[in-house]
Amino acid sequence: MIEVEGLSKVYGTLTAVQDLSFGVAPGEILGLVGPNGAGKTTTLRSLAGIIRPTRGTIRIGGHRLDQEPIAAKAMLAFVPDEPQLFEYLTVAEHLAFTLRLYRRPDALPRVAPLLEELELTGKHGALASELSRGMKQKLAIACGLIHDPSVLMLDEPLTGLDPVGIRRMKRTIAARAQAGTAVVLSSHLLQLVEELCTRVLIIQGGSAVALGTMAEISGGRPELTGRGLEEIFLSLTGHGEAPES
Amino acid sequence: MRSAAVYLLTRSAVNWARQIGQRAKSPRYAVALLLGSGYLALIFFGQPRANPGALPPRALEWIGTLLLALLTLKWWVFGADRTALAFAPAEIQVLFPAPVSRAAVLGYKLARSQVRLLLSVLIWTILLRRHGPHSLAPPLYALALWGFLTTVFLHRLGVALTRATVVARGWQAWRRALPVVLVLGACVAIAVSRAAVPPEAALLVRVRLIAETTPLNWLLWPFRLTLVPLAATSAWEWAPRFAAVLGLLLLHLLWILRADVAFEDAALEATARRSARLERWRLQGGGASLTQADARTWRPLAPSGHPGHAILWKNLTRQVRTVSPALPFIMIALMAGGLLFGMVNEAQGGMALGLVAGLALSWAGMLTLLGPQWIRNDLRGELDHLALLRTWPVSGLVVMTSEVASSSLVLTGLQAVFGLGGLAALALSGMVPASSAQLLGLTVPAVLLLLAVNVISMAIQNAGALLYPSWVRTELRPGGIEMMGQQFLTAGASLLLLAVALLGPGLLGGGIGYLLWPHLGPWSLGPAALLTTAGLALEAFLILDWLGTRFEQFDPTGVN
Repeated sequence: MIEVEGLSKVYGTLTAVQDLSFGVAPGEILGLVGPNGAGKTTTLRSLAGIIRPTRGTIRIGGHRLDQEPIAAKAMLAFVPDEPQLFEYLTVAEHLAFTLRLYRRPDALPRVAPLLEELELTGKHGALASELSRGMKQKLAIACGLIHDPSVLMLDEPLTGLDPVGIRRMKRTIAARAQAGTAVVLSSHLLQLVEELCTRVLIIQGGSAVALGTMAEISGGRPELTGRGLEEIFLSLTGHGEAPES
Repeated sequence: MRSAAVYLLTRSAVNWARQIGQRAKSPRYAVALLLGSGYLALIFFGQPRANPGALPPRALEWIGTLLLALLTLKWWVFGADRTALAFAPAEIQVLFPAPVSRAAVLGYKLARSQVRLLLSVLIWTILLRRHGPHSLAPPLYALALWGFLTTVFLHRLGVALTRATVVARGWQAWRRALPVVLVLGACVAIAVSRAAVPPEAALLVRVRLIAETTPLNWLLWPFRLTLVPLAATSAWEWAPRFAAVLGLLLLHLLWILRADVAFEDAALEATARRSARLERWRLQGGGASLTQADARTWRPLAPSGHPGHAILWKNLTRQVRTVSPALPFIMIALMAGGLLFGMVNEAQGGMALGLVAGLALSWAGMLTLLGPQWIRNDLRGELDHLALLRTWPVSGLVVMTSEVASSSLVLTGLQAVFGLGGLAALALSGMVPASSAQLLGLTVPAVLLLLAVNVISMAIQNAGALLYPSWVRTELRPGGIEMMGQQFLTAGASLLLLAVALLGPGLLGGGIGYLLWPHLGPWSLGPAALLTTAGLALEAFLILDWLGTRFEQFDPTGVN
């Protein structure tokens, strides 16, 4: 569903992402992890069509993002870490607006169940500017899910959510993947990544350090066998103490 | 705390200056900085204009005294100046939990306020001395101004602290009684003083005489005290007056620093209010607040249809919900009232219709010139959402067309209302050679022409936002000298580009109109306007297509 080949993004003299290649199949959840400034957000923004890569190609559902941007973008949803909402629109109007943009009037009956799923039912008439941080995050997620995207990209999706919201959000992400959506999840919460993701891409300094399932990543490295993602991450990014054998 | 405060203030100033220096390395910022500095230099140091109508210092002193007294009364009675206790969010986060006394926190606030006050003193000294009848040496005048502004600032802070104390200690009776006592006291003083002044004097003279009569002059004495050094004509006259102001200032300082009021709650509230005000400014450029009442559905969005209409709907919703319609409504009501009066009153109707025509056409003209800067419900208002806009499955042409159409339609609507009102007044008064039928018949081409001009004008403004987003003013980029220069540059460039864009279609339409005039008379303006509109529409399409391509290539990283 997502195919990335040789993705690079250069800002002046700074190389934010260098020669990144990976793919995400339908139903798969890829965890994108890395230290601050590793290039995670640049990668996600490139995949979402927000910024143009300096080199490389991105395909979403077979459509090249640079050649068929509208067809590619119609299949994806990007939920940023900081919810971007229109303060002067209500919750319901945000969803109606999203349906029009994505030309999905058939998804109108899904509005009520989605609002209920995200605990926004009582807020449908509230302006975005009146919502709490967590509610704003839920609305941004609702806008991402309402048009039933084939590709879902989430940047720190649990920020601002309460414990109940976190549990519901985890279930929602897992359910979407089970329904065939390709999910890319970027987070510093390694426990979450380990719990939800089928594969992990660790990047540092803009380049891939490791890509695969937990078993694949630790395979060939006996010192990492049986370790959790946190220890693997710290070890691979050069921040960890040598694990005890 | 003192050394930490000095460190914070000096480092902030140094970093601010360094930031400006670094930005000035870029040619476009350097040009903007030069332009802005040149404009300020022209204002401050240019040839002063003769001002024969200027009021004498004594009259100014009394006017200032009365205004200051009224302002202070307003602070005490309504407590409207709630932002006096506002801190920056970072100051709240760092200073309030820090192991420092409340007096030290207030001392820091006072020290920080001096930066802004000294700048105000500099600007007002130059402006007032250049344009006013003053003979005092500039440093003494600046010191007098500093004494006045600092005392007023301290009093405002003192009022806020006192009100915070009253609220914190639950002195409701005091809270209710104080405004009544103050207003009643002022009324009694005015009434007693008024009785002693002869009624035959002219209004302004009488006001001054009342203010100078006991007991009102006693009440006004402290206010006048802060202003009299500014009216001094020599250093000898200035010195004792300034010493008195310094005494008053020190008393205020003692009042504030010894208050030991638990002002934290009031400060948090004031800071939140200031943040909300900034947020409103960002949303709509000031004006009405956005509340739940504004969430009313003014026009629901249908679930199916072109995505471009959805963007247009969103931007119009923003306009409807965030901008107060009061001013246009008042203007339209005035215009309608004038038209009605002109139609029913035969004796004075002509004058009223002439007035309506003049005002309405002036407003329409002003909107044509300044409207593109005022009405900004397009890409210029979306700079915080650029990343989101880039994820939409919509072509750049559709996005840019919808954005430009949003502001163009609102502007054209307002121009059409005032333009039509003005034309109606002209037709009714018989001041134009064209008949009513001709004027009405030319309305449609005229409105279409206006729309085409506005689309070009708004496309130029949006091109500026897309090509130079950091030059568009938001609350995250507060104004400064370079911002002033940037605004000059963008306004000049926009007008030049608009003139270039209008030239070709204008010449074509004008030529056709000229050729047809002998045959059709005023009706020839119709085809001329329509031909100009067609030319402008073609240009608009080409510009929007180009802007759409630029939008698709645009990288929103680091816009803010």
